[in-house]
Amino acid sequence: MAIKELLNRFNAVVTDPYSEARSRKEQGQKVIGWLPTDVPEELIHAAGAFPVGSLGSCSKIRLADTHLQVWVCSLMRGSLEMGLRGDLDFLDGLIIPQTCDTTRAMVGIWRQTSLIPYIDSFMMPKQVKRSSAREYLIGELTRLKSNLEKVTGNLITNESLGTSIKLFNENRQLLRRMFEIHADHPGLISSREVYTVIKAAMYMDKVKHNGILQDLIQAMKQKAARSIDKSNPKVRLVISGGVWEPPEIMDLIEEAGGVVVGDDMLTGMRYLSPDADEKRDPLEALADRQLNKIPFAGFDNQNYERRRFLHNLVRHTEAAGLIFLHLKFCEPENYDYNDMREALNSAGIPNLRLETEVGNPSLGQIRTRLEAFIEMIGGDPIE
Amino acid sequence: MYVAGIDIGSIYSKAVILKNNQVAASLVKRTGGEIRTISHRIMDEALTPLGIQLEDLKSIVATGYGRISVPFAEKQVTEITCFGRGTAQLFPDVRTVIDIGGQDSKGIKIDERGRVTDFVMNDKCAAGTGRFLEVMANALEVNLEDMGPLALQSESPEEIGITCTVFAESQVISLVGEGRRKVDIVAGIHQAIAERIYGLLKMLKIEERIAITGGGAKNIGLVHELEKRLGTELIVPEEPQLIGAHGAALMAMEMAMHRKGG
Ligand code: SF4
Repeated sequence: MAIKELLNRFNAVVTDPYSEARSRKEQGQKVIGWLPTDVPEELIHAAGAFPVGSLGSCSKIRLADTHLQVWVCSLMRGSLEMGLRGDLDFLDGLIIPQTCDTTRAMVGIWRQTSLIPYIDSFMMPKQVKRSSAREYLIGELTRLKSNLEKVTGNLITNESLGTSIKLFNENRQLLRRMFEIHADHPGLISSREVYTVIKAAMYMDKVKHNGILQDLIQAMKQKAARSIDKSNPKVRLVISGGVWEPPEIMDLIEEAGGVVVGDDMLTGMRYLSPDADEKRDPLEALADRQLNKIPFAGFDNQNYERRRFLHNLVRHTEAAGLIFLHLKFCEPENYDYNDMREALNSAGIPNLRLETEVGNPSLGQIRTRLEAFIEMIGGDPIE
Repeated sequence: MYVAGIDIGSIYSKAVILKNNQVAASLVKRTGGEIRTISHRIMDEALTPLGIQLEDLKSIVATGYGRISVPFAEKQVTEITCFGRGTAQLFPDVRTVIDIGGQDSKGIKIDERGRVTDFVMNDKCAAGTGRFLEVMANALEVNLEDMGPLALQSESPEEIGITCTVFAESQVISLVGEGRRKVDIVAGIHQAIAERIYGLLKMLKIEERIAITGGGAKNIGLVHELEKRLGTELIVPEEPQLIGAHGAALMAMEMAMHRKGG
């Protein structure tokens, strides 16, 4: 199948994200949703339920404002709006990870306002390198596991969890493979398409996703081999932050002459790496996967790992600069920003911060900043 | 050889025509109505005295927020890049440019050739921009041009919080209601804007010398407040609003030369 057709299938999913979840529900399967980020989908899957992400991509906020102050990020606001509107009524449960103060407070609001019978708050250690972190997290995963068993009525055995881990690892590996091909041959598919494929994985059945993804990788490889002209005039960029929303931001980056070749986004690389060790006890493997994820403002440590991570990422991807995509009112990102900017500045890495909102595609000023940034790092616009 | 730079801003549109690197004509006009129409009109007005037409221009570069809608431009370049070029041409030793436009304010770092090395820009909100001054002038029933000189007359400026244009406006209205002196309110407004812009600039490694461009540069009260905070004298170009169009024209000239040279 041609690349376009394969991409269309992922696109269709992202345009109508919950059709798979709804049809699962109709067939009698339990459906458990999760908010970004870091909820171990494998546990949901191993309990025989269908895991589905809720990324809050909803633009007209009418109901959520009654419950939230102005300084709540648009990601949480959008998700709650969808909940209040009844868009997520098919869910048998919702797991809310605690990434920040906002998510912590959201759990209570969801419990009071939503009809979803099971709402869980998944608490991850913030200081991932503390010696107590691992033991604590295994305990928390055990708690989550038994709750999921109760909700679904299915036992999660080591075997079933192992099988789920294998399936999800495969998905991550394939996604990383696709990303590598894109970074080596930018332009085969657009930056937005790359990230749409990743986003689709959050809504789809993984077996199905893996199947189409395999075909896509094949098609990309063939196209790469055919194209003689390896040079790509686009400016290579890394993006850093939570979610790449609104999706139009990806188009803007490309229109301004850039291409995204690396990231640390929740709806990007942070979703894809690392794998869970298939040879270990599955709960321990899930805990280790969480603790070894690439650094994010919500879970960092005092060793300034994220500074080094971003610096290395830019070098390793041969990017000319880094763009922070920060959601307005995202406190972890906003607090860390100065530190990250300093680190990049002292490494001589040009960087730009754009403040975005989920569901708000008015990007006029952002366009100017992006273009000016790419004019700045991309060499002389005349030549 | 003639080339042109056109800068369509949110409030004013500007054009600069260069003839062999010398400014042959320049123009500032209010942006009103359709950008297509205003682009043509401003060019006609600039070119007619020179006895030439659009077709005689070897290259045209458009900049400013309306740059994508200029129908005859050969290339669009952001105002940030253009302000760098334009400033360096006029003042080669400037390393930091403060641009205060109608809808946004910016800080731009440039090297000796006028190439941008870093920049910051205010957020969507109009606080700290020309638009903010306009709103305040309206609320106080003072002519916009009189705001700056008025600010200089105050000895005890009012404290104005400036997180948001709408809040600040109602604060100003209540100060008026309390019978506070207009000059003190005006001075307070200028301090607040200067504080906001200074906060933005601090995100850059500010290096001297510093120039101020855009409509805001014409406001002596604002320039004065910024100088106080920056601890140095600001370079104010004779025509601060034209720097962007001038930079665009310089880029047009480079493009034309580049083509000629093969
Ligand atoms: S981490 Fe940021 S984006 Fe995520 S929920 Fe918290 S505030 Fe919102």
